[in-house]
Amino acid sequence: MSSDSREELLKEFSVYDKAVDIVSCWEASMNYIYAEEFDRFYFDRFPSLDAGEKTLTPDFTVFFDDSYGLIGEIKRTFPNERKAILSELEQIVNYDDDLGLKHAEGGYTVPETCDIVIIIGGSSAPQIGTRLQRIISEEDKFDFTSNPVLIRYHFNQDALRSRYEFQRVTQLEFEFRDNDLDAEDSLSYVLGEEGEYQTLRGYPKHFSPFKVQKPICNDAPPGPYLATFLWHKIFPEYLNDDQYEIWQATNGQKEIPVDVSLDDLTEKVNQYMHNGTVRQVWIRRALDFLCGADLAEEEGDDEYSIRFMGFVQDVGEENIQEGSQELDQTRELANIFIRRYCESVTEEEEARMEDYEEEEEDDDSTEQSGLGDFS
Amino acid sequence: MYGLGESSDLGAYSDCSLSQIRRGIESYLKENPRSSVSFKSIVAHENPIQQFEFLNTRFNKASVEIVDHGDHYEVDVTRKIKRSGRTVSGSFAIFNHEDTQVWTAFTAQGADFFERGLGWVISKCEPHISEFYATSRDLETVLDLFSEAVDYNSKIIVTQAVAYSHREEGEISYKTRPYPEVFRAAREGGNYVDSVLFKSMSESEVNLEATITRDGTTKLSSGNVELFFNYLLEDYVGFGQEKAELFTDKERSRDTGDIQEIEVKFANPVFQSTKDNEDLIEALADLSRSSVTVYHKNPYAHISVLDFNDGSSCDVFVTDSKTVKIVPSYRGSTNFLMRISDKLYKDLDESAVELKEQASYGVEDFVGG
Repeated sequence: MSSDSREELLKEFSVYDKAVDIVSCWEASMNYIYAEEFDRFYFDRFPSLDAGEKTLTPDFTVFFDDSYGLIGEIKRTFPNERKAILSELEQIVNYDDDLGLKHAEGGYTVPETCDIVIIIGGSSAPQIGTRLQRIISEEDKFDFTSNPVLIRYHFNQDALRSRYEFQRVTQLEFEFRDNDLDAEDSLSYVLGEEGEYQTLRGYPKHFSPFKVQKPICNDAPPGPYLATFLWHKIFPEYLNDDQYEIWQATNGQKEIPVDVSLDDLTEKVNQYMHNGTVRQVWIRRALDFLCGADLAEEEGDDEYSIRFMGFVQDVGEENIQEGSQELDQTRELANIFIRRYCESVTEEEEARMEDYEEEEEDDDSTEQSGLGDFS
Repeated sequence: MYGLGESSDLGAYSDCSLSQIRRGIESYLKENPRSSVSFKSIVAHENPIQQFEFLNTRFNKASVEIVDHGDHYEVDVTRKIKRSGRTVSGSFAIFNHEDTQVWTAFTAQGADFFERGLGWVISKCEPHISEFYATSRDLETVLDLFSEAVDYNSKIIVTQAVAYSHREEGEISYKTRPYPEVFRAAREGGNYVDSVLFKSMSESEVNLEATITRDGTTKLSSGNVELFFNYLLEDYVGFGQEKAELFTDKERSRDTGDIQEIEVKFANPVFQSTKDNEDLIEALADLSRSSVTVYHKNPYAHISVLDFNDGSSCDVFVTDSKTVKIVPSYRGSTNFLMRISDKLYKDLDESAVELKEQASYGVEDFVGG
């Protein structure tokens, strides 16, 4: 595979990580601000909403109480063409329905009022807001009952206090309708006119605990992303004391076969996240990626054998540069995986990985565009 | 016995006690002024003897025999070194410091046995046994406390100290200076003190000559044995116990999924640029028997670390210019967490480490103009 492919895989890894950060920011802020105020408050990081014939999978939902709920969607920067914008809106309008949101008691309740928060990146957010406002006003089919509230996110790279920032894009005039909530600090106040359009901020110290506990979001993780998580957090659970002794003696260089079944591995990942609902196809995709990197073999019937090892002294052909780039390419797991994949993947394996991407795009249950480019 | 020779006369007693051994050490050092007794303090949550005995089933060419003497264990070690074929043999004593998880092993059998006999036993019992570290500040405090305890008029002179730069290669040596000067010079030069050989003197008499180091090793060269055991060693292991408490039982709960965070707070703004984050990643990648994944590098850093010793793992975050958070996973052994924090201190900066309770934030933390 070309170096372009490698760059593409690294970029996908980074883009997905940002999406996990953003969901974690919202989970952190909503939990810290509202969880104590409402008995049945629940932030669902892996929602799967029953919409009759369809199952909808937004990026998150927030149940405050019977009177109010939120459906959250993280979108790529909207396209310019009217047709494409219409297509995005047609997906979002699916959430404008009487949808039951998960609450803390485990059941689902349709809140009296539910809004849709659309989170986008990029400096063109005001133009997008203007276009959306115009189309929604002109097109009868976008007569929303829920308010679609547009939020722009920005990563403030202040070296001392780096943070994600979220602001309402006022060109789309719809606001949060949580005024009736008996909450001291409503979103409509802090992010609206009355609160002078303040900024919601997510510092790493706020969202890191949530990211650690649930390291993925409700979108299919790229193969390398989930593979690194499995390698560091899940596969070590399969080793026994004798195998660790071998690893100690060999500085992790001894390859230890780890046999996993798709069912068991999915269960283990969900246990890791506590109430996680990772989809089996995501796990399979990560395992197939490892097969492409020559680090696993499919043994048939949803069984895989992992060539589990440490990589401490893994040195690739490109280990000729100096400085941090050298570190990245030779000792950091995601880079090692991606390099190995690009060097080893067969056409058949590559085609299989492409199928996952196509299935994702065709998946009727995932009523959203991909995460795309967070530019 | 323990290399203390005939003079100690310990062999004559099958039930020798630690106080008899202390007397034996005193006689031995008087008769062998160029010799010393070496000590290695470690952290073990359970009696480490079972792990020592287990070595007999794990290694064919080694024998580890244990004798229980009541207040300490005698450990006789014989092992054949694979590469050279030579045999290392000797014995050491090990005892538990009361009400702590710290154990100290000691022997007078020379550097070879200390490293390849006693040291081999300790290293092969990881991660059940964990080494601990003392920061430069800890070492200085140990000398402060010792100075106060011994004699109001006593003086502690550093005979030789070795320091290393946090971020660059190279060793700095200091000779014959009062100890506060040595620590101040190291601090001001951006270095950490690795070991200190010192003499404690009352008027013109040397009451103790000893070495203290970062890695749990101490050495008694001459002087009052009781001063060494009762003051210097006790204060020194106090810092080991402090860290044992900080890094023990910090795993994520399998029942609730709740995490615990360990916050390493530096006195200086260590992370101010991309290069600083890269130094952190480099330090973690350089940790022995481990692997790293970098999820986010700039300006905030998020790195996952896996330990090959026992499958422990954790997530490390730089959350602001002075703070690193370590979040252990379901497996997060003391040994692993101690190794990580020691590495951060050595390679980046040294200052107090503190445990952060699960923080609670309100709307004011999230909302601003």
